[in-house]
Amino acid sequence: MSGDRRADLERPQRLMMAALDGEITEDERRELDRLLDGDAALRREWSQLERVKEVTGTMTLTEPPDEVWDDYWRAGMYRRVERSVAWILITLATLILVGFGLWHAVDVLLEESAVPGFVRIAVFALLMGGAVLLASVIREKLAVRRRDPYLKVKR
Amino acid sequence: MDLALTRDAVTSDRDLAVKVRRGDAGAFGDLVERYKRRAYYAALALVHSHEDALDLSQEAFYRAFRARRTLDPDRPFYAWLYQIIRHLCFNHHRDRRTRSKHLQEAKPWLVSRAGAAAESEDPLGSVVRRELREKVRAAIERLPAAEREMLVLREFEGLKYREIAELLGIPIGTVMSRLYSARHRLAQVVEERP
Repeated sequence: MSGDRRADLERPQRLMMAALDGEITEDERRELDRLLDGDAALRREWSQLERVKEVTGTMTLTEPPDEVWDDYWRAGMYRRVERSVAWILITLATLILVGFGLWHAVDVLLEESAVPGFVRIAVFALLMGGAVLLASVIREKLAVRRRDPYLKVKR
Repeated sequence: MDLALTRDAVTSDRDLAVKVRRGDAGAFGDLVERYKRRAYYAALALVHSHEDALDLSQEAFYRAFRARRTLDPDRPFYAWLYQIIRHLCFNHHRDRRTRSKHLQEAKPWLVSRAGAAAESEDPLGSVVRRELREKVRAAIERLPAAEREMLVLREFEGLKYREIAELLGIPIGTVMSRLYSARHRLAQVVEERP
């Protein structure tokens, strides 16, 4: 559909919206009246749209209980801040404890003279593999974040 | 509910936003007080559930405070906040499990504005009107998200076209077109015979 044709079709639609919402100028109102006078289908549609406006005009958003507003800031925000702090502490503590446990376990394993050499090599390879994998994932995430064209797009 | 983006409110928001950027939690609390109702209703219109709207609007304020360094005091605070609310609500809707749960459990988010006295004066007419409102409410929930959002901003939050355009960062013509599409769909429901 050409731009002019689409504009011709959209003009009455926009005029009707502006009229329903009280945002129409006097000139536009006269233009709409002329269009309505000459087009029975448009008059029928206008009447339907007026009916819709009449019905939606009798509706309103549900009011929440008043207590919601009294506690809105404290209950909502502080709870989130407290939980964020709690999660950060738990995550840090878990990382430290797991790291220490692993370090200690590897230390004990490597000092144990009965452990065969291939097991020591396997443990070393496992730790190195884990470290390389972690570094690779972090590097990839950072690279994607820098190049991501949709990063600031609000969906 | 005065929802107009007045010049005074914007000027005052700017002062608060400058303080918030410096990490002033008290100033942010003032912004929360000022916009909590609008934020809640905006979320309610998008997710149709009181509990979800409360949670998501609070989450939006929380994220706004965390991202306070990106806040531009020269732009309307609510427009920025609304983008966060919108983002959270659309993500929330994408979760199918949440959506089906909400559809089963949601209480009506749109209610009659008319008083009980007016309804009792004409019981028969009242039943017909109630049925029609219920049909329209159900049809509003089935509208595409962008059209439903437009209808709610205009019809239930009472924003002007210019304000909606500024809030969403779209041309006024697009506001009117989406509004027309939404009302056109509702008109078909209103015209249906029971």
